[in-house]
Amino acid sequence: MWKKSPEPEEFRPQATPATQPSTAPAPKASYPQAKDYATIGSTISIKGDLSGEEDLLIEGKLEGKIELRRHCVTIGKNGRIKGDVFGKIITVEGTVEGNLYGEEQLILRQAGTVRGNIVAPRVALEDGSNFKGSIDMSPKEKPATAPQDKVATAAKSS
Amino acid sequence: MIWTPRNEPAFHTSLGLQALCRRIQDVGACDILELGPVRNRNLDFWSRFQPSIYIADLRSSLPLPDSGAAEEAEPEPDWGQILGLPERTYNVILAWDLLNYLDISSVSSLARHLARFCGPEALLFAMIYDQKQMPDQITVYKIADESHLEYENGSTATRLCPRHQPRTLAAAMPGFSPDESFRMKNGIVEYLFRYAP
Repeated sequence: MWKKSPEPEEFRPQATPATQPSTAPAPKASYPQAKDYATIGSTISIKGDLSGEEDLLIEGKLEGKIELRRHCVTIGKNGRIKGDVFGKIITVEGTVEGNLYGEEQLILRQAGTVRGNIVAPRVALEDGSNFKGSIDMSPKEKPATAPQDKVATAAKSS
Repeated sequence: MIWTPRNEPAFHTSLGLQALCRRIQDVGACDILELGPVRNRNLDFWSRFQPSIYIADLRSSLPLPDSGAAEEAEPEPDWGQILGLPERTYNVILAWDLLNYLDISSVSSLARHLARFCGPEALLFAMIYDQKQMPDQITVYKIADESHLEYENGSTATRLCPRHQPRTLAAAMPGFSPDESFRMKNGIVEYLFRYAP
């Protein structure tokens, strides 16, 4: 079901940028290359929750919750997600029906479609992207030792 | 100078936006209802207010009446279904030039629907064309700075403008009173409505 990509090809989960208090630096079309990430290919369909400890690129279909709170999650152009997504940096080029919780940043590319709510301190939505829902950029108290609690709190309050 | 539709982006001085920013700068956090489409530059601009923003994007979901038919009776839109707003309140509503594309009864039904989601002293920013013709489609506005907007419209086509008058608007929007208005040289009147039922 999972496969390690030997080399980044077309898209690639991004390296973590420096945290800034504000939002939305102008998104670039190219991404920093990551050393390693997992891929769910375009022919793969998954029903169920997904969690892990590495960056992930999804080109297939997934119905369920994605939890990679300390890693980059990328929904590729062919990716179709029904469910909530938790990640450090979330990039959407495909379609998501669910809420997105980015610990650091959320990027919605021009080809991306989101029907749901976004909670992230930094949000970049490319013009032409398709989004309907709420965006919550208000800063949350960051717990010293439990970063996952922050998102859980945000989820409850949204 | 009269507003002229054009394909390429152009800038528009906005005293209404300036007034809106002045009014909300002391608010700790803003709950914004954006009736237009999402634009990254606008999101970036509003981020200074630590906002929670709901993007309703009526430009893509609202069926516009035929050109020139804005004065005719149209079936009242089902705003609950079109907007799909979650149960929460907003203190800023960005209507941009949307009201020009609604007949007055639809303006009224929209205002009544929005009133359910308005916090105390909520502000509604609207731009009303006061000229014979207006752009055929709802314009997309990008915020350049506190007093300038960049606008883009996909075509140069125009339609008859309903030229909603201040009294008509005030009567059609119960609970909303025009707190400030600015008649701009380009034929647009910018309104800052305050919700105070």
